[in-house]
Amino acid sequence: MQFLYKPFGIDIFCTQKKFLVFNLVSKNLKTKYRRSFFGFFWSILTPLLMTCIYFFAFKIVLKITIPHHLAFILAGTLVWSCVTQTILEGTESIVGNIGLLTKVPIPLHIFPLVTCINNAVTLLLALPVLIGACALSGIALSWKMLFFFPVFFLLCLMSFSLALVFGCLFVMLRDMRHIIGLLMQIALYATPVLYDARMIPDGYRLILFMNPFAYFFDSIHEIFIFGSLPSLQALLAMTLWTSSIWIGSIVFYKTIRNGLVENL
Amino acid sequence: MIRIEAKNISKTFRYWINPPTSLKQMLTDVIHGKWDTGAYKMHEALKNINFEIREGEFVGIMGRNGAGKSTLLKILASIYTPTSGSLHVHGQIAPLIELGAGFSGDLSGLENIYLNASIMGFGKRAIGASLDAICDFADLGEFIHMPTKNYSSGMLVRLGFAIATHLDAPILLIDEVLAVGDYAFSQKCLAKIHELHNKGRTIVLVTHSPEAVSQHCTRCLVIDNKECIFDGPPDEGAKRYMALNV
Repeated sequence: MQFLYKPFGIDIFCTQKKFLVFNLVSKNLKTKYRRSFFGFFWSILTPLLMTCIYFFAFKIVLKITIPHHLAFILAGTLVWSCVTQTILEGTESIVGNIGLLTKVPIPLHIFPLVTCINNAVTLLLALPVLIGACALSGIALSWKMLFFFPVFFLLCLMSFSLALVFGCLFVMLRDMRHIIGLLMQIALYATPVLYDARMIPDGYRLILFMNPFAYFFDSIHEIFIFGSLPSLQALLAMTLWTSSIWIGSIVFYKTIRNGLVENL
Repeated sequence: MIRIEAKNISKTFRYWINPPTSLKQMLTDVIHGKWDTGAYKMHEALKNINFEIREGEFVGIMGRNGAGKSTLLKILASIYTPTSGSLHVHGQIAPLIELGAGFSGDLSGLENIYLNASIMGFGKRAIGASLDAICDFADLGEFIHMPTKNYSSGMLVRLGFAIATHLDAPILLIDEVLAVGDYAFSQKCLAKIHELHNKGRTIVLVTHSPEAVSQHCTRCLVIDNKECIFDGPPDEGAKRYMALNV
């Protein structure tokens, strides 16, 4: 049990610094939208606009038919922007807080954690928009949609683990930012975010599903658009991916964290 | 009661001569087999530092620029880990290495009190209990509800100092922060630190001022050339430090 929240003796979720995590998250959310006219709506507006663009490209120009196409793309885009933001901002979060890390004793991993919580909160606040879009599109709302939360939790855990590893690597290797940016671009199209997993030709299916994100987005579409639960195979794959990346990242972090602040 | 126990502390930094900050260079370095041979050199910043600080002591640490004072303070604050040796700290530390660490200009003074204090490791209850005292000492009046980007630098320093000294930490680590602010303010700060010492707090102060050491400290450490060359009464320590500067 203790292994879950304190793996290898590392207080990875900063449970002993809850108030600090709370303050950092609320600072980020407050300063991000203060003094801007649309405020919080910017974080919904961007995925909405992207959805319109993808809709135009895939539905109107390429004439691909997917049921409830607009809601389908919106579900993918909203969650995907949460994942990419966590990973990209998380990569820079440790180096970006150099001023604090060299002045105050503070665990390094708190910054990727805070980034992850920020983006998760933003997504949860945008969820009513997605539910509204589903309803408008004629999808019957059901209790099965609650299954989104455990799936999303695993996805957040995986994004946080990746952000932690990339954030530590970024301290030593400033190429990281460009590499990750590029990888996330590729991953967007290699993951069934904008298209349905069933559309992937048989020969490619196996390769695409080796991508850790694939099962997550397939499940999210199942939950919101097709009104079914994720398959047992998907659940198993998501749990396996998340736990192995999570454990791997913590082992990596444990070996690398000493002396990292000195290298900042 | 012993508050800080430092045994044989040494700190060596690794400096990259050709920092492999790009993937291309890292790969060519590895291919040419010089990844861990010629790529960096070691720099020893502290060597065999030994001391014990008891409860209620007011220790001044002096030394010329580059002697290793700040490194030592960062090790005491557990920002850096010592390369060898061991450090035991008993009790919570308020690190005053920078005043107002983590202040965000867009937040109000009040919000920043919570942010800064939690960054220094205090919980909600501890901060709430000291809130009034902090606001009184900072003496900002209505400004406490304004974003701190509208503050003058004097106001910022006042707020930062008020937070750090009014939280209930048994150990205070202070790094030359008193050099900022005008004369009256630095005197006020020293007086406040003196008062905390009288209340039984343990204080470690890194400073260049021999007057401050002989007036306030109960003990002085002089660091020179990586080593602790003096550990004893403050007046003698101040003299020893002055002798180094001739």
